[in-house]
Amino acid sequence: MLKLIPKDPPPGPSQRDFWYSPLRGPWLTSFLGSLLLVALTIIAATGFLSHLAYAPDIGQNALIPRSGSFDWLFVDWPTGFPWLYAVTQGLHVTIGFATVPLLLAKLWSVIPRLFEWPPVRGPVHALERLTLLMLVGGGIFQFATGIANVQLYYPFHFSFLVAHYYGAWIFLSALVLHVGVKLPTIRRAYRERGVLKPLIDDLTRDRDNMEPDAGNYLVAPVPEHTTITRRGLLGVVGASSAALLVTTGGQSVGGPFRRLAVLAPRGGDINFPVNKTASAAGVTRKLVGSHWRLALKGAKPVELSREQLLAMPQATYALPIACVEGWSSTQRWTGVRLRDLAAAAGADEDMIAQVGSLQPRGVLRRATLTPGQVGDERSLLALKVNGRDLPLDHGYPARIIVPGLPGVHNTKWVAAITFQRA
Amino acid sequence: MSGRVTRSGALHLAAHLAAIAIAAFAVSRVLSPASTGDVNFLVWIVAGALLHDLVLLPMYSLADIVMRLTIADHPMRRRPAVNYLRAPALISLVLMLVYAPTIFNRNPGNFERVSGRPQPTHPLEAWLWITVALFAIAALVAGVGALRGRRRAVDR
Repeated sequence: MLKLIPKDPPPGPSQRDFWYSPLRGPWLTSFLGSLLLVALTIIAATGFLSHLAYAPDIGQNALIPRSGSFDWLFVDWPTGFPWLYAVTQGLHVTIGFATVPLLLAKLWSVIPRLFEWPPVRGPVHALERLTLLMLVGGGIFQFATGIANVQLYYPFHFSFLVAHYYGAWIFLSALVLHVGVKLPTIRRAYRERGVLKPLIDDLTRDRDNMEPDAGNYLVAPVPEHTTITRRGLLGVVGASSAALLVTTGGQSVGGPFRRLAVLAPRGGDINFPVNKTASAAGVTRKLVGSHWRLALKGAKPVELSREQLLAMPQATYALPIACVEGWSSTQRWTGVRLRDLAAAAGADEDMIAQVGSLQPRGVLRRATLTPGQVGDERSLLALKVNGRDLPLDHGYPARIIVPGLPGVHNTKWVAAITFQRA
Repeated sequence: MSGRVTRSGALHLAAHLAAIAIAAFAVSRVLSPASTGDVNFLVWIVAGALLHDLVLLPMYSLADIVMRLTIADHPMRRRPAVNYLRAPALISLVLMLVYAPTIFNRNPGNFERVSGRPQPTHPLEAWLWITVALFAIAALVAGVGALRGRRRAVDR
């Protein structure tokens, strides 16, 4: 079948002289790829940390159906660093957004290779091209779905969580392979051209500064006059990343920067964002009226009214709420320590806590906390925020607040807490 | 020598098969009935690559060619004028690409329903102002550069 492919490329992008940019070459691609690799390492690591932070190994926390064989990987997400999830997820989203220009530039630098001729040289080459489809398609998929999710835009029919998680597997397996295969090329480019020298050489704008034509599709055989230098290209990529950083990062960093995040969904003028309002969750004023009781289930089942909870010892801590969508906000929460509630229900210290909400629908109306999370002195069933009763949208009559826990696991409108063995 | 080539060739093939096997496992997990079971997922992965490589990239390349042909630059000019349009246009378009759902107000009802507030302060307006500012900065830099160039020419 391979014999059916004509030897000479047809007119168009498969002709080497179709490409004319004097910038393309192994050094430029290596340099962009190295920067991209650093960013992708941060994004991938924080992404998997977020998966871990949801403690999918206990209770019904697993939102992605578990495969069982990876359970040994799970360690309890610590409570010692309340800012931990705000930092890891803020990095995941903010660096993710800011990396888009770099990804586009990297893809631009290698586009002639897509049209290399012959398109398939043999069975191994066909496999290589398949892994490149996994790399490019998987990479674009990860960025596109993540960016859409942050903006609550769902043009697709599959579950975002499942697809984004397994999309990472596809992308990262192809990425590890790609870096392994290209390592000799990258090292040769840096050895022959220097790591930063081509950027410095740019200043003289000499045709001699072009990368040598190695007969592959990267270097243009008949380059046109330089209209932008390698420095210029990297400058525009950097400026675009900076623009994304400024318009996005504030929703995570907070303070004066939040006002700068004019395009970010939870930036701009709001200091204490709501993830899901009571009306969107189906929680009405009637459900949270004076007849509301907190049901504690354990060795000694108890029901407590809001007045009874307020009569228990209260604790106040400043703790961040950090959302998977990359925004966070630190507030002063006041309420009853979860470990006092566990003691009231006759629970042991090694028990997990299943928290259920009044919210009638939705997979996140419940969350399971680890024994370490229940036992931390800063873990609260919050009744007040910043000295006032919780607003309904923030979980009145009572919500969970645990240091370092992903936002949605800090269940709002709590109805019941069940203490049990894992 | 030939033995080594064969061994590295075998390693090369094994590594590719391993990556494909991991991807196949991941796809099987997504398509399993316990998940969403939607082939749509695969379509999106392939379509993303095709849209970028065959639509987005050719489109911006074509726009760049048109821009360069419109602005007749002297080929030996130290700072080609086209870059004073290229840089702000690229930054603005990247912002648009990333924030398109917000800028074009997709699903505004859903947004307000879950977040309890309307879309952030007129995202389209914010993006337009950012774009205006970017082009203004580029014009300023170009103007200062032109003045300096003229002064240098006069000094000579």
